[in-house]
Amino acid sequence: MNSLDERLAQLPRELPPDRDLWPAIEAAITAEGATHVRPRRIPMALAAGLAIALTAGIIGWQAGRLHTPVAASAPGTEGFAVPADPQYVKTRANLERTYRDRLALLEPVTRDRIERDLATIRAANADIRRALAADPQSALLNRLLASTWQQEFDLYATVVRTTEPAMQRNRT
Amino acid sequence: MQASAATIDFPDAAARAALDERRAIAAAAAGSRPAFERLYRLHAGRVHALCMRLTGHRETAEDCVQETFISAWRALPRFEARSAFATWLHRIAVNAVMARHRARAQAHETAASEAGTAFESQAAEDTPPLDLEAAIGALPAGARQVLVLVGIYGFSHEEAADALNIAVGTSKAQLHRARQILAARLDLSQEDK
Repeated sequence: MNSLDERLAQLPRELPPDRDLWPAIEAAITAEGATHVRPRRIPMALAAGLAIALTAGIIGWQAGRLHTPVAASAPGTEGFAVPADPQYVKTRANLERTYRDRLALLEPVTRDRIERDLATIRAANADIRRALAADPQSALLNRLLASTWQQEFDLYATVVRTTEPAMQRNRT
Repeated sequence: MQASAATIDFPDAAARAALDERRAIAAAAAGSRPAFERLYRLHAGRVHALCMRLTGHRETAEDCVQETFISAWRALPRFEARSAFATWLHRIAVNAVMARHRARAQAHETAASEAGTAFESQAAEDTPPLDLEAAIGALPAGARQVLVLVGIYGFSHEEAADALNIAVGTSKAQLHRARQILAARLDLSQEDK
């Protein structure tokens, strides 16, 4: 007989309810109206922007994760978090320059896709900054903003890393 | 110059599912009910299982599931993504169950606890072994709650104690008690416990 721990581990983690509970939930949150206040102040376009930002982050999943240091209330940023560490800013600028140089090593279709992803990340960053201007204390928006900087950094790093073998071959 | 093209691998299905969830969270936090419904469809089974095992009552569990998702809708703008969404949702579900438990206790509706106590006193008698779900459902409320959170859903004793508003030592004692009762009820030998 299996041990108790093994039997507990084998229990299904999902047990769907016998009936669909969503209609009652939807009715309740619809009836509450103004309870979900803060999101309604965010432009509807932002929802799409946030979704795009997260989609664009798909490349970031593959990259080595270098932490993006952020600081609150940097000049000209309406009080929300931006990368501010000079060493990080310098490293990032160098990485972006290398990324630009390496783009030429990629197939046109890959290059186009990466440039579209970069444009999407930057558009999402702009959307989130606009939303933060109206709600600078939003923890969720600040984290999403930081994630777009990280995604952009990861995209640069991924391109540099994946083109390194081709660069090595070209040097020899 | 165009050397051999570099290939960028894209995430697997699990990573894409996680990404879909993050998109739904962002959209729901911005007020999208369709996105929130997607989150409900993704998580209702797990939340219901947790509530069912904590309460032992189908209708109460369904009420708790509804309260969990309504509370989650209200709290989504404050969700900071430091923990997994499922973990955050489970914590809300435990709070919903405990709020009901406290309300029932105040109203002296302790039928479930009495049933558990009655079961405990019969545990050593010669009754046929139960299946595991039934045996868990028949545990005394305190022991069942700790067993479900720690033994099944992987809460630490500290997390369970915090969620159930009990001491960490009490959580450990309740888990030990639950395991002893289950072992007796399921006819587990000493090495199977």
